[in-house]
Amino acid sequence: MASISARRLSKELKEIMNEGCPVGITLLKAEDFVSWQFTIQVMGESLYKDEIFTLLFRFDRDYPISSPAVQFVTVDGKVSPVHPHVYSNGHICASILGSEWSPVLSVISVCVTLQSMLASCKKKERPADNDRYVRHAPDNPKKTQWHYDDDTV
Amino acid sequence: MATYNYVEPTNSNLVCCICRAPFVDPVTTQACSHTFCRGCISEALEHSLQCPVDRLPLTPEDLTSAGPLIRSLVDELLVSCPNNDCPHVCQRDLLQGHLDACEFLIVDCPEQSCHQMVVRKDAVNGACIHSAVICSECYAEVAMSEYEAHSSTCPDSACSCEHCATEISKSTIELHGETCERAPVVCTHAPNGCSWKGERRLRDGHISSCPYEAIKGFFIIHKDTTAALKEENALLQAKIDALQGHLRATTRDLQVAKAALGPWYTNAVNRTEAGLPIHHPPRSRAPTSASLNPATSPQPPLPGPRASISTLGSDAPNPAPASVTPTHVNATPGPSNTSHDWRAHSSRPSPNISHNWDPSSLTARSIARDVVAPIDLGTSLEGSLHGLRESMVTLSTTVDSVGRRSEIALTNETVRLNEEVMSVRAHLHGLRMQVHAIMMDRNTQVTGRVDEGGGITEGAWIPTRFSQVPGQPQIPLSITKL
Repeated sequence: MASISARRLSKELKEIMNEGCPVGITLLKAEDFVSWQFTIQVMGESLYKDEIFTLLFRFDRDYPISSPAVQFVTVDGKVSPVHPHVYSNGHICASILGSEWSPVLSVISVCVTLQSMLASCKKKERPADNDRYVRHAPDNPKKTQWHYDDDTV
Repeated sequence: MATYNYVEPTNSNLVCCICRAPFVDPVTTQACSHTFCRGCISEALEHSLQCPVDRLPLTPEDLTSAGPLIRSLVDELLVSCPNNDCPHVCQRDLLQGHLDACEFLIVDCPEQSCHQMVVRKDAVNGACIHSAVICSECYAEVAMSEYEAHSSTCPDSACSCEHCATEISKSTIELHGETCERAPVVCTHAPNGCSWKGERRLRDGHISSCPYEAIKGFFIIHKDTTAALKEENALLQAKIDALQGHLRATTRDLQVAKAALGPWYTNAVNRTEAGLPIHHPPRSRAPTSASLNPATSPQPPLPGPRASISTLGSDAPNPAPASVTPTHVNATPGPSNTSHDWRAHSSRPSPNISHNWDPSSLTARSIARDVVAPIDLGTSLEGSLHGLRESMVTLSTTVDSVGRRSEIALTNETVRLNEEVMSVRAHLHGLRMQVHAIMMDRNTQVTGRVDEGGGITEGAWIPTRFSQVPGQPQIPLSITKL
């Protein structure tokens, strides 16, 4: 019998296929129920005009009870956006991906949240502790103990 | 029961936002009235003690079963049986009852020694369907589960002929059908038009009285003839196709040739008519060239374009030098001309030359026009090219002679002009000498007068003195002061 996460993800995938993604988000790869890839682009006037980023989702068996591991892809010539909450290795410091995750959220809602996070950015800069974090960061961003200190962006 | 196959799309209000499927055993939170499946929310609360929708604090004790309305709404959703091949569709709450009796449920084989699985409906009679049975007709070993399928196709199973009711095996029934005495058949002359139908045993009786039987021999001959004709027809058809292909290719070639020939192409039918208008232009042009060039002798009426090329090529250059040379002789002034004549000469040579050269140049031009234009479309392309080459040679000769002529004329003219310039220079020298003599003469007179003390009469004296010199051009007054 298919696991809960597979059933839930197959429902989400069917919805994406039927209704399409929101503007600026396209499904790049969803061949299994382990990892999906999306491209994300900030629409309208913003600091990230005409930049396209790739998001990687990794799901474990407990999805949607536990959050998916979400990060920007930084290999194959792709880069992570320069943003105060995005590290240069693609890891994202966002509460909804950690303690604030709720099973009600879905892949698409995470994409939209990150899109609006980029859109509301005022200044393109890396997080203050970027170099230190990147040097010691684990492969999976879920293993990082995030300290959410800024609610404004 | 964790999964249901819902037959219809569900109202989104009845969908759990955690598993995205219709509620199963729905529970509602007391504080915020959100509804989830009991399983989903229990798992979520193990992870984080807050409501997944609005993140209010939530404990398992805050959950109560959802109202009967929601329960009956989700229980009445139609689901299909999860067992393969089972077409059963029922309300969700009735599915468990159906599964208890579903014939397509996979169960163990009733035979203890057999370890295979079997759908329940095949297990009801207690026998193992995997054990082999022997076909009563063909004595082949067949598995029990396939016996039914085998018996319907077994070649040795008995069946009866539908015409004579004889019992025969299935494998020989086709053979029997060809010989069965009671099988319906048609007359052997049916292809020729006999409409008799009946049982096979009656056919022999019919044939003896069949009208087609009498002319059986004719049919054979007729058939042979038709076959031969058909064969011949096919042969002819193939020939026609080949010829049509040839014709098409030839037509294409002809069109290509026509396009390449352009105006050279004329039909054999209208070639003689096409010759006439082409002969015409040179004849009408002949008088104009004659009127423009009175010096050339009137040309004889041209018999044809070919003739006009030859006549003009040979005749035209001859009259032109004849008309030019005499005028040159006239125009060339003698070196011994008197000083009185030079003024008239200065104006005369140019009109003379232009008069003499115009006709000759016109003749040359008319030759060129007549030589090239009348292309004889009546002859072959080769002949025309030959003619054109001939006229080209003639033309080059003409041009050559004209060039030589003009060179001679130019030399003559230059010599004449040189001589004239020399004579004018001589004249001028003479004049200068004369003027010098006069000036000297006058100077001596004037100085003599001035010495006498009279300068008042000088103005009146000069005209009278000069008027006495005959044939002298009037000298402007300013010169006297030099």
